[in-house]
Amino acid sequence: MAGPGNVVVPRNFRLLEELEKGEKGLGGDGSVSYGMDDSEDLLMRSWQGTILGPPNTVHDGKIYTLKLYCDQNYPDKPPAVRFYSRINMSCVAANGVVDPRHFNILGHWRRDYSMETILLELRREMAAPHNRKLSQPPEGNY
Amino acid sequence: MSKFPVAVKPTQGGDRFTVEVSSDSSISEFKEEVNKARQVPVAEQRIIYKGQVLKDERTVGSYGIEKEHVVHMVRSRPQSQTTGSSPSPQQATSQSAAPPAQGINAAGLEGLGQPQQAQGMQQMMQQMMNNPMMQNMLNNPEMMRNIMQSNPQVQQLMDQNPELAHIFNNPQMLRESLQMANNPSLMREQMRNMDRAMSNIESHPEGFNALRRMYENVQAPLMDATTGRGAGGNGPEGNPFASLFQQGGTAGAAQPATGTSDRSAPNTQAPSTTEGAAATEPNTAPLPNPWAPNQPGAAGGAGGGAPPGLAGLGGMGLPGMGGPGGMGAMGGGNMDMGAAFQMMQQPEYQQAMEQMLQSPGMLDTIAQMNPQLRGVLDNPQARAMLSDPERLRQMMNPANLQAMQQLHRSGMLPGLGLGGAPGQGAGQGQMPDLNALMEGMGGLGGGGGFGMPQAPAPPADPEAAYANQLQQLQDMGFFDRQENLQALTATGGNVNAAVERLLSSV
Repeated sequence: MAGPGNVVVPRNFRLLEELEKGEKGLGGDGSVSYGMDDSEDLLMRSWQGTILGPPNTVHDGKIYTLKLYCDQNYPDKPPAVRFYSRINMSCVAANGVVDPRHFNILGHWRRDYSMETILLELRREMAAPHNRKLSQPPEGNY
Repeated sequence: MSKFPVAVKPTQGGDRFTVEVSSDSSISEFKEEVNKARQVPVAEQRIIYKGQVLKDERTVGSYGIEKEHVVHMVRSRPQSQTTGSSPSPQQATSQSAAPPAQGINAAGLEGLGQPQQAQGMQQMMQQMMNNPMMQNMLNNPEMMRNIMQSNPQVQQLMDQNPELAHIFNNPQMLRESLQMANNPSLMREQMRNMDRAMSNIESHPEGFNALRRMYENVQAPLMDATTGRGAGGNGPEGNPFASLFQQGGTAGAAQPATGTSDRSAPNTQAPSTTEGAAATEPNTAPLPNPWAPNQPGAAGGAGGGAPPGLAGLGGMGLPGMGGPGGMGAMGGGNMDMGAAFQMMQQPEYQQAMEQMLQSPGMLDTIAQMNPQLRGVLDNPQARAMLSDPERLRQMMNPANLQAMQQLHRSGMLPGLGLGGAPGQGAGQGQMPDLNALMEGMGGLGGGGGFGMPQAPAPPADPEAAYANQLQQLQDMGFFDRQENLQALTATGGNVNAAVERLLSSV
């Protein structure tokens, strides 16, 4: 996987890194936020994230909550991502699950992507021409 | 307790700043601090930390915020409801001013409150509501009105009862009733309120008379319209609402023959064709009892399963809804193949089918409308089958249908339903008059059809057959073997679908 010279960061280190980044708000512009769902879980599997609806779209001013599930294969495999807040978006199934077949970051996952990448990309996707004007369901949760 | 600095990053511009809090201060106190530092009204602040929107009543410590952690502050415009985390059907409760409105709600509620309707109905409603198509439609009062007015019965009803017309023309009302149908607790609450209100009114002098008037003005005409009683009793006219009040299997079993002739007879009422698809039998009961427990599995049940839940909505004149509801019920576990096949033999239906076959894009449209269906279509075999017109036409051949029906009866061929059901959903999409509406519905119905009951026959030993997939799931972090096995069986071994299923059940 990793070429010579590259260090493969083990899962838990990677997740701890992301956890700290989320807590300290390092990097990013604050448009997305994420952290562990259950701080007791030593395996750091359940995460949640929020995405601030991008301006000049139907999502403007909304805060979307998502659940991310990092199994043992993370970050070799992408986490399972599911919207907790209702949203109408091309890559999100009716039950809120983000469909990897329609969302490039998950479909063509790379090890150096992080949960932040996912959230930022989802936010960009919200602002994409085919999503920015979609009519949205009444606010609520799945 | 000692205070510590927490950095606040305003997301809409501005530099980060620090406020001093202690871990036992509440989030609202935290917001006060932010207000002091940056003059942002507390009501407009939303604090986000580690992927959650912080709730006012909890404390800083309970969220694990520590020294030098960073929270994000979103300033929301006061009038907008910002978060997706608060369900807001409450507005429906506050609405009860006009007595006719109550009448309607009551009718809807009581029908829906039946324990029989339970889960499947609930889910179907939810799915239907989540469908963007449906959303669109509900947001478009003009369209709703059109749909309703295209139904002669409703039209008549509205002419005779101006109060009712008012309700039909109020999109808010419609939305509320739908929302209510969607939310069982809200509905129960409403019913309780109604009961209380009723008994209050009754104990008031003259109150009973008022109630009776209300009944005469609202309930009775609605009932009339819905049962076709006004139109001459045993509705061979094909009253679209007749099926809504169908009385379980007994009435259905008594007259199955009329049911079919009903639909093959030239039909003057356009919307009723769609409804007819869901209901095979006419209503034979002189006076309906919407409270009678329905038997979705019974002969007439293909249509009966869901529509009674929509009785109130039926009253509200949603002919389209009855259709998809019924179709949903078909897929929702009470698939009555007999009824479906009967329907497929109808000339109109076959025509619709033909139409669909000729437009290759149709399949895709429907698929896109419904993720469940998309899952099925991703299966290359199913797709090939569906997109090969020749194959479909063969399937539509009456003789074949009959054979299939027989096979199905003997329980030998659950899998072949696959061919029938999507066609059904799709075919519905082409019915005249309700084209746009039904397109969405068709997708839904199809989706329903594709639900669990349509899954290929489970292998004799799922554990062995799905060993591979089980391992995969295990690797993905789903550790409950039993649950995995169930999900795989239900999805016919499709790991992707199983994962979605597992996730959505969490």
